[in-house]
Amino acid sequence: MKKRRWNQWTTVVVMMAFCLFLGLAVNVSAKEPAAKAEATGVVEIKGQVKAVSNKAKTVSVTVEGKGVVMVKFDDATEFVNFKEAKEIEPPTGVVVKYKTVGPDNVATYIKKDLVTLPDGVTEIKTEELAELVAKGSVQGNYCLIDSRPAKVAAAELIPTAVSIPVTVMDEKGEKTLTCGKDKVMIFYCGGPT
Amino acid sequence: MSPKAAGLAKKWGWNHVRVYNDGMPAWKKGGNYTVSTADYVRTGNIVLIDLQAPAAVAAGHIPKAVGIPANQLESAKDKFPDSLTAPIVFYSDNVEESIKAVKTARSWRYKNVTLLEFPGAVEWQKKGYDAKTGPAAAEIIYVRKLDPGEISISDFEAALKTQTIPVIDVRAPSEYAAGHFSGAVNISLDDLPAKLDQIPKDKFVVVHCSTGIRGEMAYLLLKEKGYNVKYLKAGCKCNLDGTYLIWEL
Repeated sequence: MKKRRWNQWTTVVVMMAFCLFLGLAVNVSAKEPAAKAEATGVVEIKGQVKAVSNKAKTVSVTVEGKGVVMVKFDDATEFVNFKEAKEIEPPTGVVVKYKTVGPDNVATYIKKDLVTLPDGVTEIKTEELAELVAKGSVQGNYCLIDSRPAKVAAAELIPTAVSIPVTVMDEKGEKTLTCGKDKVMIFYCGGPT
Repeated sequence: MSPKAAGLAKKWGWNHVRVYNDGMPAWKKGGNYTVSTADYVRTGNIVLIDLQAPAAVAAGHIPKAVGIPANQLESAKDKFPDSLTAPIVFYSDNVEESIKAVKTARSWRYKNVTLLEFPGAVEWQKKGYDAKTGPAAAEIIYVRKLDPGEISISDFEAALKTQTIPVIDVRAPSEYAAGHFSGAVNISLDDLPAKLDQIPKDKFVVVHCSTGIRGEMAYLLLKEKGYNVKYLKAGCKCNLDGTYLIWEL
């Protein structure tokens, strides 16, 4: 307990020092005009592509807790897991690094966030799933679960699927899954995010 | 969302856990049909079509359903709404017929076409939902709900006519030069952050592009900066002579 309090104090002191440092940094950059703007820090965000305009070379990204961030890209932008900007499509998960240049946010780096599955979990593709769904959940010995928010799932489900939002699983725990442990559990959502 | 859910199931002791990574978009792209829950069908702002023969419809149908027998669907295309995002739900006792109807409506480029999650009105009544007897409605009535920040096409056209509301065209200068709405000012989306001072902050303004994509981005940016703004979410094409076309997407 005592150790913890000491830790909190350390945090506070470090944060104060950091704020002081930030204050200084802001002061410095405020004195230097626009040319210096490029030297300000690169911001990294992680979120879902909301919209892309290739004509305006702009992508907007929904970031949890931050809202929608609009970022421009150009020939200098580094694309990772994308061959070109045209491949970016909503609602792909992305990591974007950008700097603020004058009034604009300019991306230096846009990476498609590839899905990593938990250990022991395997992927299923459309064709195999379609074969299972045609058999039905009893004969196919599976439970298909839509992890998206309940409202979205209610409007459009894969046949035989049940809506159990991941947020509900997270909150209410194991009892949300009524499927037998001998069955194959298949989860899906709105695409790789 | 699904990888996280799979991780939880694995942790809780399910051994055969899989993830359909490609998800709903790939499922639909593969030409597979999808379903809507009964509660959504009862309460949602949808177009509901009963595909059964008139006699079966008269014996009992879901209250807001429009009756279009499956064998007449192809010729009823003009009855369907302009908005290609309108949610369209079919039902019938005959599953094959319903699946075929989904394919037909999707071939008309409707994006949200589903089946009721179980076949037919008999099942609907068995589950305790209301049904109506007698003939079903013959005409489809669908009014799309506007998205946050969206201006209706009619309000947009009224703004063009009165010229009292500033209209900002956020397309590229080359697109603007090839034809634009009379009275619209061109500030392309990429120039917008630098040219905010050209937009009146004390007035209601409207932004548009050619599809609503750049328009919505501009709307979000301006809204965040404290502007009173709406955007046009529709397709539009302006000609050099000032004539134009606007259509629901």
